[in-house]
Amino acid sequence: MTGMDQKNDSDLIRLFQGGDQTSFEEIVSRNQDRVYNLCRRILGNGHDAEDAAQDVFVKAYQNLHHFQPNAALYTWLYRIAVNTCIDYRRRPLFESLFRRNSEGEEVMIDAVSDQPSPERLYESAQNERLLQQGLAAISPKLRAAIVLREVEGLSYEEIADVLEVSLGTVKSRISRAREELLAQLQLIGEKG
Amino acid sequence: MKCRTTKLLSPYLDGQLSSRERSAFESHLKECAFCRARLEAYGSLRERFAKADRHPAPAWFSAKVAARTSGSRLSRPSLFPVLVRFAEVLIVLLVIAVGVISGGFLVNGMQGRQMASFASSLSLDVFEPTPPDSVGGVYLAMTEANDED
Repeated sequence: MTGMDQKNDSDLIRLFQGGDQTSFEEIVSRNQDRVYNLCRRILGNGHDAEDAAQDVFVKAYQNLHHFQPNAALYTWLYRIAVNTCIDYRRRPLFESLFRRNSEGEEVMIDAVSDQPSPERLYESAQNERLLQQGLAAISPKLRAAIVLREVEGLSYEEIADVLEVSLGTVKSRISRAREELLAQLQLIGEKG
Repeated sequence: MKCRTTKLLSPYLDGQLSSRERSAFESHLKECAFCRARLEAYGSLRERFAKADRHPAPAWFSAKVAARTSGSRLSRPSLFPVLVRFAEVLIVLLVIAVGVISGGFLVNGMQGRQMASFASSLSLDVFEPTPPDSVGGVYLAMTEANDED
């Protein structure tokens, strides 16, 4: 175990603010999977998610000097990620279409890396496809709320902090997201 | 038929109700088939999320971030380039000043004859006529003769 492994987020931020570049590498290393996964769930494909997740860390790098340690680092990163992903979806249509062409290949590569059985692979791919289609059909604000709750496991208070909305708004968005997502899944199921 | 208390389903599922609200809602659930069905649907949705794979960041992700962030700390701009440019301008001004001052000393220290020699050295009228028996003189004579023809 290296010295960096023992440091908490506040230590790393303090070191970075003092000019230590390696501490930022450690921050990226610790948070890259959760930020990428969140971007992947909100944006729906690997290419956009990778670009957006990189943007998140570049923005974090540029603003970490102003970070106040009264909030958790990961909720701050989630906030940047949600805002980045919502902005990302406003990019020109041709860019999104171009980047989505290889979405199927990306799913296969990820699935093979876990080496599951063919049945598990099929079931997982089906679940993934349905979930992603359902998420894509609801609004980005509802999608962000439900993904933070169900995928990232954040509490309502943490989601309110990330989305910078009231607790009541979080409750409302999560309820609406579940209802709309269930309706979309039913529609997709009926279409076959 | 819909139920007015469905808005409590999500907070109930996520453990956001107080113990009093929770027990009241559980009593309601025993009587309301609609809410029980919705709660089951919410549970199946949660299972679907739980079954979904988590996607780890792609290979070389941190290296790509490092490449994009190296030398781009915008929030704390370095004064070094400004100081270097300032030093360059200062050196150029210093060299010009030394040249002007030393030139002034050179001219002020000269007496009459030295000054005349100095002035003549600056004159452009320093070329001697080409000797007629030299190669240059012969060439010029030939050129002039051709021009006259």
